[in-house]
Amino acid sequence: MKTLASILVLVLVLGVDAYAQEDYFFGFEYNTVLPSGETDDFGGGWSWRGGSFGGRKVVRDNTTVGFWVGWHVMNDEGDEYVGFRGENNNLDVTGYQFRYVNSFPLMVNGHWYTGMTGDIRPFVGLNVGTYYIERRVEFGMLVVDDDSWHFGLAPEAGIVFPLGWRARGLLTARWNWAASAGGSGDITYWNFGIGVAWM
Amino acid sequence: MRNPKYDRASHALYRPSVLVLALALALAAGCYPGTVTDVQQLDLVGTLWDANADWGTFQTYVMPDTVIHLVGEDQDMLPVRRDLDQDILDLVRANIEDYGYVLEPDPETNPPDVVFLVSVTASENWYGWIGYPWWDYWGWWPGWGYYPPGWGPGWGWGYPCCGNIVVGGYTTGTLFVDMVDANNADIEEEIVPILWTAAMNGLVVDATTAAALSRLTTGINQAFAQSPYLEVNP
Repeated sequence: MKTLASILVLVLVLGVDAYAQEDYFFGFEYNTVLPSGETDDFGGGWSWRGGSFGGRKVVRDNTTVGFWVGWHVMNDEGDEYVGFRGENNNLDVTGYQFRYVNSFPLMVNGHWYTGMTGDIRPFVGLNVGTYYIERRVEFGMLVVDDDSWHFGLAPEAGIVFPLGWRARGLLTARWNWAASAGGSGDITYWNFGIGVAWM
Repeated sequence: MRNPKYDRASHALYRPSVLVLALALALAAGCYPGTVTDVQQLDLVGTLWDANADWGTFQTYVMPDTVIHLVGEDQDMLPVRRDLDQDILDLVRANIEDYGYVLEPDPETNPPDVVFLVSVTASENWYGWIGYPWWDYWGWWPGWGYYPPGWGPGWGWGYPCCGNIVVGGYTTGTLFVDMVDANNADIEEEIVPILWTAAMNGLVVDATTAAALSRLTTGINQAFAQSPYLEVNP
């Protein structure tokens, strides 16, 4: 967790440094999260805990390349059975449990825009990179914690719109796919964002 | 025609220190938002088992007729009721035999395949599935003599633990049942392997006998029900 926080801070500092150059914009988003597929079974329904930060460089009139980092929390609880399988040992637990998925996407991306500067500009994009994902289950005094890095993709669609001066508003939707790794199957979820960007 | 490019930046708008602080606060507060609201949410039945054991081939068993009280290091022994010990042993034995295990009638000649041990925590915290002074608690049992060359005070239990499992302190009255592979002790490492272990959090502390028995029955039965691989020759 500390490592991820450090990476976020590093990216932030580098981003601010790069901001002094031309044709960049940087933005923060508040994200809601909706697990899908098997992740929904583990991580429950809508989560209101999420945020992300990104930077984009204009390379053509309608194209940017950049990066995107985030933090998305999914959680659920209930009185259920759950099993964990390992190479040398297995664990089965019945009891009230709190389940958490903390996902940290670290990605590079490309975006393609329609419209003109100063107007509302719809865009689509593709994020490619890694997810650092912690899956954690707490049962009373027993904790099972599984951390792993995953290759992942996040197709994206959104709108950027003017707010005045150099500020822009952002509305985004991404479908996050983290490939199976480290004993965990695919992890998939949607995130929907609203944010502000500065040019 | 307007330039479709984005506007150029002229000066920084960010204050990194504020952003870093906000991020740090968010990270600290939001990772694990769940909260225990009822003490019964702390109840659990956990079974940890050796993934590589030759399950199904163990057929005979033996079980000391005593429930041992476990006390954490540097902790005081707390009173835990003894009047349910026989009920606990009977429940465990019934579940073992339901799975087809046979109590070895002549253990001195035919060392049983496995030994079942029953214990209860009698202090505020007990870190289970990690190992404890074997000799202090179980050295008295003459049945270990079935398994030459004999084990001494330096020996320990070999739990199939723990990898990514973090075991916290179990509360007073937590019931443990361990299945010991006494025929395959590691003489070099002085380890006696445990094939299967069940933990039932805080079952032996209910005020009324009826409530305690009800929780014990549910918990012990669940421990075996969620362990179908224990069955002999399934």
